Order: sequence, then C-alpha cells, then structure tokens
Amino acid sequence: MAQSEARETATTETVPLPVEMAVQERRFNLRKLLVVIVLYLAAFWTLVPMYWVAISSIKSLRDLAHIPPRFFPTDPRLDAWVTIFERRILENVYNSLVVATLATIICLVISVPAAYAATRMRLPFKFVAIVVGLMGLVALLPPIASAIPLFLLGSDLGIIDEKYTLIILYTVLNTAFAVWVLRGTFMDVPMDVEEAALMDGDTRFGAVRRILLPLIFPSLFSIAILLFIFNWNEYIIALYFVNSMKTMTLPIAIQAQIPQHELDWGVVSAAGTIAVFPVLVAAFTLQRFLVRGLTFGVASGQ
Amino acid sequence: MTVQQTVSPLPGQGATSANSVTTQPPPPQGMWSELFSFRDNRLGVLLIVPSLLALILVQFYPIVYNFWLILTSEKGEWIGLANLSRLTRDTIFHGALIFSLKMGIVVVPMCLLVGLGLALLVHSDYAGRKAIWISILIIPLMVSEIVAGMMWKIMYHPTLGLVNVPLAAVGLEPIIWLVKADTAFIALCVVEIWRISPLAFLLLYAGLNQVPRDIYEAAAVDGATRWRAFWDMTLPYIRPMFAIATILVFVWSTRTIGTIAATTQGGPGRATWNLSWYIYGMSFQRLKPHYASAAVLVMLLMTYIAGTIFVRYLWVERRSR
Repeated sequence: MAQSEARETATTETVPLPVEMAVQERRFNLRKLLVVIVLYLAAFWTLVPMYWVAISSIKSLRDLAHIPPRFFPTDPRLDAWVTIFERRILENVYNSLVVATLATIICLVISVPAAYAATRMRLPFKFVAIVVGLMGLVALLPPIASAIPLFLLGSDLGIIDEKYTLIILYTVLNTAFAVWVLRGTFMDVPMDVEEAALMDGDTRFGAVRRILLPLIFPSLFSIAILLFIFNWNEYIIALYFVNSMKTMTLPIAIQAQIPQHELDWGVVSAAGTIAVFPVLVAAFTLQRFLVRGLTFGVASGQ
Repeated sequence: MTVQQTVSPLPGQGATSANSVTTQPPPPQGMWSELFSFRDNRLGVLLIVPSLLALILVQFYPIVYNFWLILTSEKGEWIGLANLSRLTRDTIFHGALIFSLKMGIVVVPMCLLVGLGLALLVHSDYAGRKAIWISILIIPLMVSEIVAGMMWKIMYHPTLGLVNVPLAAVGLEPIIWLVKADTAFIALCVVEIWRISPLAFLLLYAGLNQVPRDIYEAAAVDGATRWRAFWDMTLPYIRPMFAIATILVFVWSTRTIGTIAATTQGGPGRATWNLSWYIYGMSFQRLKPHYASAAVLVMLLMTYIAGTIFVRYLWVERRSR
C-alpha cells in the first residue's frame, strides 16, 4: 500500500496546465460521483447475500413467511441459533479449527524451508526450475482429481474418518501453493542484509532467524491466514473423508443442515453466518498482502 | 522447456549470498551429480525434499493411480480402454462436460469484465480508501463454495429470497429459479460470477499497480485520449495478469462442486451436472471409482491445457520485458 500512497502523492504533485485544470474541475465531481456510485453498487452486490443470510438467521417464523420478504427483521429471535447449538455445531467448529490450524502450521513448517532453499541457496537451477515449475502446475490441479485415489488409499489403510487424515491431506494439498507464494515473498526481500550478517560471521541459521524471518513476518502471517481460510473452507476432500460427527468439519455440517422442509432456513442461515465470520476478518487482514503477494512473481519485476 | 528459463535470475542471487567464496558457477555436469557436489546443495535438497514428498504423495501418486484405475474394472480386472470408450458413449458425461464448458464460456468473460471494471474503478484516483474497497470486494473469494451456494439458495428462494423482489416490484411473476433447467443454469452462472469475479478483480488490480504512471503523462502530452491510452498502454501492460486471471477463473469455474451441491444437487433431472459433480456422483454415490477416473482424466487434460498456457504466458512475458 505504501507504494500506491506514494503514487497518489506523486500524481497530485504534477501540476496540470491551467486549461486542463479548468476542465478537470468541472468534470471532476461527476466522474467521482459515478465511480463511487458504481463501487457502492458493487459492494452491495458483494455483501447482500451475506447480509441476507445473517438476518434470515434471526428472523421470526412470521417474518420468514412474510411476502414480500422483509429487508429488516421486525421481531428478531434467536430460536435458530439455539437450535443450531443444540445440533452441536460447536463440535463442527472445533473440528474445523483443529484441522485448519494444525494443517496450516505443518504446511508452513515444510514449505518455508523449501521456498528458502529455492530462492537463497546455490542449487543447480535446472533442479530448482523443475521443482518450482511442477509446484506451479500442481497448484492448478483440481482437488477432486486426487480425491478418488486418495480415498481408495485411505480405505485400504483404514484411516478414513480420522481428524489426522484430514490434517495430513490439507497440509500436503496446500504445500505446492504455499511454496509458490512464499518463493515470491522471499524474492522480494533483498539479500544484502542477510549477506552482511553472513560476512560478519553469523551462521546461516542465525541470519535467517534474526534478519530474514522478521523481514518476511508480515507476509508469512498473511500466508498463514490464507492457508487457514483454505482449510477452513475445504469441502471436496472432506466430502470423501468425513463420515461421522467425530470428524465433521463446518462445510460438511452446513451441507447437512440445508433443509429438506421449509421451516429450517433460519437454522442453516445461522450455521452459514458462523462459517463466514472468520472470512470477514481475514478479508480485512489480507487485502494488502493479496494485492502484492498473489501476483505469482509477475509483479515482482524480475 | 519454458519451465527451465523460469528461475534464471535465481542461481545468480544464490551465488552471491550463500557461497560468497565460489562466485563462479561450477563447470556444467549432469544435474544429479552437480546436485550433491556441495555441502550447501545437500542442505538445500534436504530442505526441499519434504515438500517434494508431499507433492508426490497427494499429486503424482493419485495421477499414476488414476491411470491404473481407468484401465481396470470395478472388480480390479484389466479391461484396457473400455472405461474410456464407455465414457465417450455416456450421454450423462456429455451433458456434464458441455455444462462445464458452457458455464466457462459464460462465466469467464463476465468475471473478467466485472473484474477489470472494478479494478479500473478502484485503481482510479476517484476511489478514496482503496483498502476498504478491496477488502469488501474480495470477500466472496474467501467464502466456502458450499456456503456461497447455501447463501444463494436462500437468495433464490421463491418466498424467502431477495432475487424475486425487484421482479415483483415491476409486476413480473416470481421465477422459481432452481427448478427449471435454463433458469437454473443462469442462476448458477450468477453464483459463480459472484464467487469468482473477485479473483479476476484482485489479479487485474495487482496488474494495474504495476503500470508505471509516467507513461500516461507522456501520452497526455502527446494528446492521446483516455480510451486510446487504456487500449494501447494499460492493456498491453496487464496482459500477463489478464492471461493468468483468464486461466484461473476458467479452472475455478469448471471445478466448482459445492455451489451445485448446495443449490440444485445437479437437478432438475441432470440438467446442472458439471464435471466435478459427475465425478463425485459416479465415484461416491454410484460407487464406480474406476469409471469416474476416466472422467478425472478428461478434467486433468483440461487443467493441463490451461496450465501449459499459464506457464507459457507467465514466463514468456516476463522474459521479453
């Protein structure tokens, strides 16, 4: 963001010609108004399904049945929330939290060294190129393509419907993506400081711990949140590997709540609201990083 | 071998930092002997190996296993290419493939258009507080497929939903969106556009940030119109990001399964089966994993083609700059 702020100040400093300025003055407000109106419409379009689900979860039955539907609940009730907690949604939340957190941590533990080696160590570049290229391609593969073989393997080993299976699978499914994004992050950090530390007789590990890690920490944190959200949302693998309440993660629980009869809509809305909450937090935490970090190296000007 | 050119700046970087003593690259030998010739290399390989193992376990092993699955029947007997030839005659599969492609044809251009439009707006000087706009606009990207589908199922609901309210306001009959094949297709496309266009927005916005400002000033001096400047300068600059966005949007829209599971369950009839849903249905509900693997192969081929274009665009563009 610092970049864009610098750019903004730069543009305000360029003084337009007097004639131009007059034209800009006149047209400025209309243009700005149009841009802002369209952006508000876009924000409305983005947020309205979420708003709708959130208010559906607190509408009374009478409001739910009201035609046309009410934009604001007249008689807010928490019945749906009580029901969803009675249906032990907290166990699903707990499962999701455990699986997503552990998978995120393990994934970082194996992908940070790989990204470090790929960018900072003197490996034959053919080797690095092949590894990195493969990881890039693999990050594109649809998860459903590996689901069947992994499911059959899991059945043979008897590890279906276990939390640790989900943790292992989520870890490895995200590894390629994590290495790719981390590699871009590492490439953005200049090597000079680290080099200086090495010259001063610091060990390599010391240089990484004292210099590199603090520098990349904000990006690392963002990547961790991103991976957490991926795991929190993961659906396809869970569809194959979850059989019981013991392992049921939130997305599968929500699918199970989608009602067969009409009166249950409040309940599924409440479950959906729970699932979306971390996403809202993450979106606001991640936006800086996403604009810079997810450019797949194109933006790093290499 | 475009991949090989990818990391050409890297060994140079590595050389300066890691081994400041040996600045000259060693004489070219075989890759593997070179790989283990330095202490440094051995450590490097050791650091990469866990990720590589992960990759082999969940990505390459399944792909190889897939081929074995395709070539055998559900009972494990060798049947050669029978699964594949059966697939070519399977009208349900044809329907699913066509549905996926049809969806791609509608969703990809719409997402790119919406994404480009929003990226330009947020990038313009008129949008204050860019951070907040970006945060809001990328939210759908981080909503789970199944939750997105569930939300829109409520939105499309004939009485609970919001979608029919404007229709009723202008006096139209309410549409029961998810019950008829053609309206269900439109409805699903809208869900996908809602879900995926933020990805195009994000990538294109990042691309726009890379365009140097001074070229516009130069163009303004030369008397170029805004439109001309956009067409001749902005677009060529963001072309690589545009290519990436196109491919990722395509891949995302064809692999969706949660939105279908939450909204139509493939119905009415089999009108909204896409490839992923077909694979899931065949393997998990009808318990024919071997046969479903043949459909996985088709999906992999689609991704492979998209991925090849991805790598080529990405690296060729980068080198030519």
